[in-house]
Amino acid sequence: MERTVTATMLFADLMNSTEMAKILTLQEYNEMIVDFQTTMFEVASNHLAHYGYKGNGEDAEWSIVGDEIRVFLYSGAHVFDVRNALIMALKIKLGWLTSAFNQRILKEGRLVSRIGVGINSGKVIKDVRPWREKLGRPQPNVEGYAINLTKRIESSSRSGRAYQVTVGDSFFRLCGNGANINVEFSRPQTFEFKGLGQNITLYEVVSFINHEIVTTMPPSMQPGLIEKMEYAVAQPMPEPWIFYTLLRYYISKTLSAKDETFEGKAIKLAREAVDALEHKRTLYNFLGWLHAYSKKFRDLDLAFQYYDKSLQLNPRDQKALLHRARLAERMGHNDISKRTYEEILFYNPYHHEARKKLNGYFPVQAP
Amino acid sequence: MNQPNFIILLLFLLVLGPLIYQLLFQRKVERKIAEMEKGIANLLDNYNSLINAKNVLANKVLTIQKATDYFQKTVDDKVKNLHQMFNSVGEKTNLLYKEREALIEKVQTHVKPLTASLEDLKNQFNKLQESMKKVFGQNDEKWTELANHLDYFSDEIQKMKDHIRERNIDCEL
Repeated sequence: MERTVTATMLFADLMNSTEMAKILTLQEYNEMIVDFQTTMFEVASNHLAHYGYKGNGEDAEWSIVGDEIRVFLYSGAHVFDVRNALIMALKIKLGWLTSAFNQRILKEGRLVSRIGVGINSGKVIKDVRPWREKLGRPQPNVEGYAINLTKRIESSSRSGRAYQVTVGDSFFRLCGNGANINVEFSRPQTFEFKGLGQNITLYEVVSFINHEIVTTMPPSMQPGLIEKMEYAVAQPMPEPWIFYTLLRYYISKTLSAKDETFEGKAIKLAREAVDALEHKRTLYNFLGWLHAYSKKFRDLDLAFQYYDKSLQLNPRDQKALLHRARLAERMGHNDISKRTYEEILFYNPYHHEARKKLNGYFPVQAP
Repeated sequence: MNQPNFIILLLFLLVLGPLIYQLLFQRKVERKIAEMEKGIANLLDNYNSLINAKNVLANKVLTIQKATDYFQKTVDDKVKNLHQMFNSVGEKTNLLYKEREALIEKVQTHVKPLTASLEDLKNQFNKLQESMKKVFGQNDEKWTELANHLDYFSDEIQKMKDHIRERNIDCEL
């Protein structure tokens, strides 16, 4: 039965696979594609099952063809789908980085094969084609303009300079619409795609902080995963997402295992990332957080300085403002704390903590 | 010639002897009188001391008497006040008791139906408990199963708590 749904689409493919097909022998190329497809199968099937998707065209579906995986999520909960698409994008990248194919390349000191990801949200028509029914495989087909656009977005991700995960405008808006997803995007970039007849605005993910990326990787990929990431990040020109994902993992371990060695690892990695990466604001927030809340490296003045650096890059950063206000209060600078909470309320009049704190200084009128 | 001398001597002795005796006796008496005067003086002193002590004692007795009177008066006043207070409290208690009785009557009127329904509920609960006992009593595995479910539930809650904490950190970094 034909049905129109709002779907979040994720298309990911191997970059430079055509060039590789020219260089590699047919056997080698086939080995690479088999490895890619196995990895994608593991990641997609495990992820969707873990997050409660029924699949089979009910609330999600996915397919792997050649060097590309396509995932459609239409659970009806748009923010849930958006969040899952972002986590899946990173898990796909992580799975491929730690695959046997890429590990061999890494050991040889060459640049690893990368995956470009395009994500978009939009209305699509879901329908079971008569030929599928005749075949006895009544899975629905998904069609629509949004799919064509997602394909273009995926191809544009190759020119990315950070995560190489590019998203469309509708997806970008869903991320910022009170979704509580800690994702940062590049400035809007305009692309002209053949056949679409108009310029399309796209955004590249420059940081995505989520604790589930590593912990929800398929069990078959878990052994040695962190060691592989640590090895990859120590090689020349590592991909930026590895820094953020590994840093987030270290912070989780610091909190859950109460192990101070992870604090040291996190500080060292964050400082290396500041030197290596273009997008520094999130890294300043990381360093600020580590110096504010760690045990061994607690230095409130330094933490304050890092949040100030972050705010110089984006004075509206709610996270940096919030920590700056908290730190000022802890350091006894109540006037700075008060001013910073007021600033938070200026940008977000409903901010719970800021309202609560300022009520301690003076009653805040409901906006 | 010797005989008159002897007589004179005898006469002399007869005169002088009593005189000497009297002198000695008088001296002894005077000494006794002096001792007696001294004793009388001591007695007088003692008498005076006694009189003084008696006066002091009398004063003290008087003071004690006054203090006893004052104490008695104070106690009487206090007892009187207390008595008045007791009377007042007694009156209030009686009043409260009456009001309480009235309230209890009112409450009982309202509570009776509630008590009946509670009794009914209690009976139903007892029946349920008995049937549960029967169900679980037949098979100890059910209890183990229930305990396992609760353990699983507890683990899930812990996982949820960890997840919420991690989500908060995600949003704050």
